[in-house]
Amino acid sequence: MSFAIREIQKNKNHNNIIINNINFNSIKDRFWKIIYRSTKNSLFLLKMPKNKRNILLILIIFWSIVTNGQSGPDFSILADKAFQKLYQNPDDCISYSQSLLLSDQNIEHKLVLQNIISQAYAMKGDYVQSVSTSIQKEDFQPKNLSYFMQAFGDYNLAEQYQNLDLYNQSKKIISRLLSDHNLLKSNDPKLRITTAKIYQLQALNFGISRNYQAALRYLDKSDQYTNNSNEENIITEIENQIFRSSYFMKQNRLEESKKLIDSVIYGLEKYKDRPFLLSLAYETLSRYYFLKQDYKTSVFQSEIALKQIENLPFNNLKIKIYESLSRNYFTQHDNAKYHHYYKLYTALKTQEDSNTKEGIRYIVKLVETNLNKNIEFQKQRYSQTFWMLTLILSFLILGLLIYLLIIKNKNKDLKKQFDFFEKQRKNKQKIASSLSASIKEIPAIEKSPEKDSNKISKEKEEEILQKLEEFEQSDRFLNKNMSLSLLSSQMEINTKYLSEVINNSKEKNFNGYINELRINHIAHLLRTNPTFLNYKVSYLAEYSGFSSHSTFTTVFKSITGMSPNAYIQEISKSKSS
Amino acid sequence: MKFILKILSLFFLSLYISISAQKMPVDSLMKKAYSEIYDNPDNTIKIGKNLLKKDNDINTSIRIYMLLSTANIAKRNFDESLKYILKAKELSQKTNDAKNQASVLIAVAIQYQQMELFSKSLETLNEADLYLAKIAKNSPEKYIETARSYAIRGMIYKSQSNSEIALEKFLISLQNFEKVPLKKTTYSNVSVVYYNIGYCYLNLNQIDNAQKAFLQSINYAQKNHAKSLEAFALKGMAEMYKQKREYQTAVNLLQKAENLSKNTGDIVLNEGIYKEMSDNYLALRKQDLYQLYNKKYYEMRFKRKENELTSINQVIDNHNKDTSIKNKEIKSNYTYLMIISSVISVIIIGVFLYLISKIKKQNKKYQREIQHIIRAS
Repeated sequence: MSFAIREIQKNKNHNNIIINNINFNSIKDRFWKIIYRSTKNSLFLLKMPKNKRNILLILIIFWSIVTNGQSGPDFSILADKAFQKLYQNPDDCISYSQSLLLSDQNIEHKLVLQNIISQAYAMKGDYVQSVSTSIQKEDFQPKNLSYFMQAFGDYNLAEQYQNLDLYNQSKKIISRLLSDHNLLKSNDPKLRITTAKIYQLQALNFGISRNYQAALRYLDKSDQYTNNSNEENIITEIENQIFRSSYFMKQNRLEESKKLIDSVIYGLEKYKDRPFLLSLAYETLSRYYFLKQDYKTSVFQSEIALKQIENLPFNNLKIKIYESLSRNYFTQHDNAKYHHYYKLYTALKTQEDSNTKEGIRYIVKLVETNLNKNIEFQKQRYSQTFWMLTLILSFLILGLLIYLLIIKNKNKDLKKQFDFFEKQRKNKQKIASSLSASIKEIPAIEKSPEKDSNKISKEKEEEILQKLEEFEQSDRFLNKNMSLSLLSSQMEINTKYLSEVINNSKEKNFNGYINELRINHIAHLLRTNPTFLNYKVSYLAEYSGFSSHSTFTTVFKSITGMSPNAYIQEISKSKSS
Repeated sequence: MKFILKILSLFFLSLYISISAQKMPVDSLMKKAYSEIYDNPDNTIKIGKNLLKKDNDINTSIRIYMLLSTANIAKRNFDESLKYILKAKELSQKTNDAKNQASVLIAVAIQYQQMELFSKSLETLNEADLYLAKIAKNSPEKYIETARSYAIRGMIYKSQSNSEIALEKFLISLQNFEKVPLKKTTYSNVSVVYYNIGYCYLNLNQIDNAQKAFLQSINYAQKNHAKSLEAFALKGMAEMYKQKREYQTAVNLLQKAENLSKNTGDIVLNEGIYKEMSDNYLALRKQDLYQLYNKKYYEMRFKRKENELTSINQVIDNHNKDTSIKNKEIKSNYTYLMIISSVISVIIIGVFLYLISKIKKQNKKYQREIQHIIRAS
């Protein structure tokens, strides 16, 4: 018999799932229609050829509205519905929320839905499932959690601890949460309702440790954060009232308690769509009559409470009702009914106790792994920042190094330029002085012969140097075809001798010697004769006897430390200034 | 109820531990570890693990393994607990002393019973029976261990609401106890067994037999001056009278029990007494007294639950503390690293900047001089 009933119930649940899916699909359909319409509209907008930029702007605004519309109000409505179902039928609520969960990728939404599902499991008394659903959040821990998600995650954990009788842990987490002013002062509706629930949770914690005054105070605070905007808020408010009435009763303020619970029942009876709350309220009322020693009425109220949730899996509440029924029948010495309900009570209670134990074992394990993951995560984050810093610093260093090399290069060039100009200046002075006292030159030349006296005689060498001097004064080195053999034939000197003297006295080979003469000459011309500044570099190259433009530039650069163009610019600059 | 069962079986377990402890030099560390088993199981485990590292004789090792197993039960970490139980069992196989083997196996069975792994527990008890058979007849240990083994069997069946079989086991246990010259420690055990027998009769609605059993339980408890056991037995009696609807008599007995338990500080006992008191006063329709005792009952229950959960709370707190310490460590490590790398970088950058400024100055000087030369010409 009971099996059959269960089967029927199952079917019912199944139907509900289907209905939910349909509901959900229809919502989806509606959503697609909206998008379709919006794209149609935007196509229409595109057809208006007036101002393209304006259209683009409108399009962007439109899209942002559409996308916001998708994740904003729609989800909160769906979540609210899930929350409402939580108090109607946990099984329904679980399947409904799970279908939502499957299609939603938003982490925040997932967190909220998971919380609802875990609450539903807790109401059924299935704590293991409840814990496992609620602490799955570490899947997305590596990403940065928003403030709401952090607070909500903590609230979640506090709730789990409370379900598992670990009130101290729950209290600890909540007091930490409540010491955060950001949470208390926030105007975000999501955060406000969460705060309300956190206060409610803390009130329950205090209620359990028999500190009813504090509990009532926390319930008042919880009420400050609720409004009538949606089911979640309304349900939380009603719950607060029921708890308040219960605490009044514990404080022996029986009449106040009765008045409050009566008004709650009156409100709930109007709609009849919150069986859990109604049952809870009747149960509270039954306790009132029990305290008043009106056992018959107490039984009557308990039976009404039971009737509300008879076929619903609100096992925790059922335990309470069974307990109160068995107690009442015991007082009335109705043994049969006492045993009947006492058995039901013990069966459910044993089940709940073992579930709690399992849940505790599970949560301890999960907390352990969670904390380990947290450490890993922390480590990762720090190492990331560390490497980021190191990377930035090394880039900075690298940049500076490159800059250093660049200016060092420039420094080299400048040094060359400086040397070149210095040399030119000295040459000029030398020429000037040689004109005045050419005799003085002779002893200067006398220094060198010692080196190679073996091979070339002093006279010969002096003769060659004399001829080279003449050669340097002439413009013959500008000849394109100037080579060692040509010069030696012109000077009527052995090639070997000439080459050796050049190598020894000028400390460079013939080509270098000629090139230097050429560049010095052209540089001198550029400085002294402004017309040369107007010539093209290729002309200058040809003029100075170089076969190509590029050779000229390279040689010029190697001798002066700057390119011909830069040199020209430098000269013109100094001229004009 | 179940919890009472647990406490009583723990009684047996502690008996084993205290007996075996007497054989060895008193190990103060072990004692300390045992004292913290429910308040700070992590610490107990730490001590146990350290003790394991030392050279121990087999018996000490077995005791340490049992300790670790019990501490893990307190943490509700059954996997670990099982691991240590098996190790203890393995070790006991190595000794050739059948007595020792049997007593270890029984201790293991008690551990299993605590974990509510009843079939495992029964299996282990059967195994213990094999060794018990090897012990010479007429030796008092044989009878005591057999009695203990049957008592545990009885408790298991009782917790499975199988009062008939439980009763049968308890009776066998009792017979074995009776075969030994009774000592003070066995008085307590006999009292516990009678108490259980009483409950079985109560469940079977054989009220007269129940009364006899409870009376015996009281009797043996008094012989050993075990006040808490006497109170337990009185509570059982009271429950019997409650079933007989003689509420006033029940209340009288309970008051006696309350007086006895006043100084024991036994939360479970008090919880049971207060519950029965409140029930009986309710039946007598004395609402005020009912309220009073109901309140006391809930207080005790809350306290008991808190006590049960202290170890869990401790474990979670330890985890949290560990994590925050580790997090701080990681943070300081990385801050340190970052400071070092920043300082090094700053030095390098400083040197570079110095070089750069120097070279730049030089470059400027060259440029100026070059300009000067050009202009001069």
